[in-house]
Amino acid sequence: MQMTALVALAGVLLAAALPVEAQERARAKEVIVAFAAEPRSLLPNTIVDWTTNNQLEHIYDRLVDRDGKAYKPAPMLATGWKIVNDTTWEFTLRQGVKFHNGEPFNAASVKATMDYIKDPANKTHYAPRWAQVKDVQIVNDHTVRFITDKPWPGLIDRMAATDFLPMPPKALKEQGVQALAAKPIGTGPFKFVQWSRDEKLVLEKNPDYWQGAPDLNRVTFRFIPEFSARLAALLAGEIDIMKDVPPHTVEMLDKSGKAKVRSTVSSRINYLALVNLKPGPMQDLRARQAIHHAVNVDELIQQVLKGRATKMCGPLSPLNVDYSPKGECIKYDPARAQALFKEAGIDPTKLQLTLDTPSGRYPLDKDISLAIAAQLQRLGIKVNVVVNEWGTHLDKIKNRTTGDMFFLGWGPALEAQGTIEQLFQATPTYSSYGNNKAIDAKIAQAVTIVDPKKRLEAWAELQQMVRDEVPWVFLWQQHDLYGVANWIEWTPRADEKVWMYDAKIIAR
Amino acid sequence: MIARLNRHLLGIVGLLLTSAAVVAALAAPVLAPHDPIKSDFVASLKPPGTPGHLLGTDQLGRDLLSRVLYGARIALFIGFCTVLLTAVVGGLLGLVAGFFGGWPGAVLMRIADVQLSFPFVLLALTINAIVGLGLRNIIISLSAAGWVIYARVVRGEVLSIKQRDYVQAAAALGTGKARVLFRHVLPNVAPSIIVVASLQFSQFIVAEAAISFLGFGVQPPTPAWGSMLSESRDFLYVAWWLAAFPGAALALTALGINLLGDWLRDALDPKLRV
Repeated sequence: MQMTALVALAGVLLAAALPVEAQERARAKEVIVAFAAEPRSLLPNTIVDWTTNNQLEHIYDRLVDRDGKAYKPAPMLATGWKIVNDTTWEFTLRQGVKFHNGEPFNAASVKATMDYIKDPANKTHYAPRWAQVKDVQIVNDHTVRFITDKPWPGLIDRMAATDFLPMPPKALKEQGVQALAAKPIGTGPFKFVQWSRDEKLVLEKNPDYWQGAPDLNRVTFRFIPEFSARLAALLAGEIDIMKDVPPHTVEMLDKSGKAKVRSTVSSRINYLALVNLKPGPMQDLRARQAIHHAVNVDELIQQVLKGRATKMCGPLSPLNVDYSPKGECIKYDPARAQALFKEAGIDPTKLQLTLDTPSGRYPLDKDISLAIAAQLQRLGIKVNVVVNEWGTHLDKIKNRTTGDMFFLGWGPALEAQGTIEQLFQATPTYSSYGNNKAIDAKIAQAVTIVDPKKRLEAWAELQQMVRDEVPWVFLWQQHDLYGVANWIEWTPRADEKVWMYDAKIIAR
Repeated sequence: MIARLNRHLLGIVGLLLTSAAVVAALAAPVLAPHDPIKSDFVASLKPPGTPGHLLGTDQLGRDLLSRVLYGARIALFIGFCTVLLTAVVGGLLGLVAGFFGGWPGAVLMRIADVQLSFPFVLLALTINAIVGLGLRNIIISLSAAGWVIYARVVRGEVLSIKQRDYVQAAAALGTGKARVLFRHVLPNVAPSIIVVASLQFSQFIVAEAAISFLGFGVQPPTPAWGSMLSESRDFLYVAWWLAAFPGAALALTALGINLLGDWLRDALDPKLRV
C-alpha cells in the first residue's frame, strides 16, 4: 500500500520535473528557439523579413548595432563613425575580427557587401534601400567612406539595422553566391551547422568570437507556425524559447513551473489604416476623424489584449528616436463621431465598410479586427471583416486592393524616416495614405536635414501634420511576450532582436 | 433479430440527434438567449454556467450557446443546399449518361473519374480558393466537388434498369424517351439517390467545417462551427469550452445523420428486406 503511494508520488514528481531531453539540453548548453517561419534565404542583405534576419544575425554581425536601452546606434563591427561632409559618411572598422572561414574582416569586406547589394543579378530587396549610396571608398584597411548622391543624415539609422551585414569578400568571389547561400560564413557568435528545410536550423558556438565566446554551445531554430502549437511545445519541453505567447495564457505559463513569460514593450506599432489611396468614404478627413472617435482603443487594450499593449497617440512611439511628445490624443467620443459623420453628409447606419485583417501574424490580430468592427457597429456602421492569409494580406496592401480599412503592424520602428516616408506618401509599397502635397514636400525636406536639432523639429512638425490628417486609427505598441524555459536567463529587446548571444544557462 | 433491433435502436438515436439539430437550426432565433455576433468585451471568456451564458462566452464576450445554435443553422443550411444541388445536377447527369450512353456519357464519366482521383476536401478547398469566400461560394465549391458520386451511382443503376423487361416493354410500345426516363427509370433509381444523399449530407457538413477551420469558407463573425473551432485554438489552455461545444455539436450532428442514413439504406434496400 505504502509502496503504491510512493510510486504514485514519484510519478507526480517526475511529471512536474523537466522532460529528459530538456535536462540534457540544459547540461549540454543547447537551446531550441521556435520561430513562426524558416529563413527565406541564408544569404544576408537579400530579403527584408524579420524572421529571416533574426536567424541570420546569429551568423552575421551588423556593422552598427543599437544599444539595448535607448536604442541609439552603437558600435559593432564599426567602432566609430562621423560625417565628413554633406554627402560623405566615414566608418572606422574593428580590427582583428575574423570570419568563420579565417578570412579577416576589413574595408574590402564592406565594399564587397555593398557591391553584392548593388548587383542587379542578386535581386536583393536592399538595393533600393541603399540607392542613395553612390560609392564605397576604401581609405585604408580599416576605414571606409560611404558617398551619397545627396545629403543623407538617416544613413546611420539604416546602418544600425539588419540592412548591412558584412560578407566575406574572398569566399564570395571564389565560391560564389550560391555556395554562401548553402553554407553562410559570417563573423557572428554562432557558426552554421545544418539547415533541414521546413524543420530546423542548427548553429554552434564560435569560440573565437570577437566579443568573447557565447555561453551556449548550440542554438537550434525550429519552425512552428502557430502560437498555440509553440506554446504546447514549450510546455512539453520540446522547445525552450518562443515569441508571442497569447496574452490570455501568460498567467497559466507563469504558473506552469516550466517556463516564465518575459515581456517587453516593443518598437513594433499596430495600426488600423484608413485607406485614402482608393475611392470611398475614407477620402473624407471628417469620416476618418469620425471613425477614430468611434474606436475605443483603451477598451481594446484592456479587454482584448488584457493590457498587453501601450497606447499610441500619433504615428511614432516613444521608443522612436525622433518621437515628439507634443500633440493630443484623439479621444474616444461617439457623440463627436456622430457629429462629424453628419457634417460629412454620411449616415453611419447606412455606411458599409470593409476591414482586411491578417490572422495569426500579430497577437490576436483577427480578434482585434472583429472587436473594432463590433465597436463601429455601435454607431450602426456595418463592417465586413475579411480575414486574409498573411501573404494575401500583404499583396492586397501592395496592390491597393484592400477594403476601406486594414490592420497592420510596423517595425521595428526606431527612427522617423522608415515610418513617415514609407507610410504617408502615395507610392511606397505598404502605404495606405498619400497625395497630400504639404506632407510630401515636408518629408522631402526633412530627410535631407543634416543638423540634428532642425531635423528633430522637422519630424516633430510632420508628426503633428500626420496626426491632423488621421490616416490611421492610432492603436498601440505591441508588448512582445516571450516564453522562456526556467533554466535559461535571457532578456528580450524592444527592437525584436532575439539574440542568443545574450542567453545564459542558469546552473541547476 | 437482435441485430435488426439494434439497427432500429441506432436509427432512432440517429433520428433523435438529427431532429435536435434541425430544431436548433430552425428555432435558433427563439432558443438563443443572445445575438450570436454581439460582443460584450467585459464578459469575455466566461466559463460555462455563468448566469446568462449557459455555455459561457468566447474571447469577444459573445454567447457560446447562441453561437452553437446559429452554427447548426449554417451547417444544416449548407448541408441541405449542397445535397439538393449535387443530387439534382449529379443525378440528372448520371441519368442522361446511363440512359443515352454514347460519347457524351463516356466524356462525362471520364470527367467524373478524373475528379474522383482527387481527395474530396482538397478539391473543394481548391475550388473555394478560386471562387472566393462566403456562404454562397462554399455551397458552390462543395457542390462542384461532390456531384460526381451521384452521377456515378445513378449511371450504374440506370445501366441495369435500362435492360429490365418493363423498360424494354415501354420502349417497344413506342413510349417517348423522356417519358421512359422519368416515368420508368427515375422512380427506380430514386432510393439510391436518397441513400447517397443521406450519407453525403454529413460528409458535406464535416467538409464545410474543415474548410472554415482552415480560414476559407464561411467568414467571421458568422458563427460556423468550423471557424469557431479554429478560433478556439489560441485559447485552448484557458477556455476549453470554446473548442468543446462546437466540436461536440459537429460530431453529434454528423453521427446522427450518418446513423439515420444507414437506417434509411437498410429500409430502402430491397435485398435486405425480409
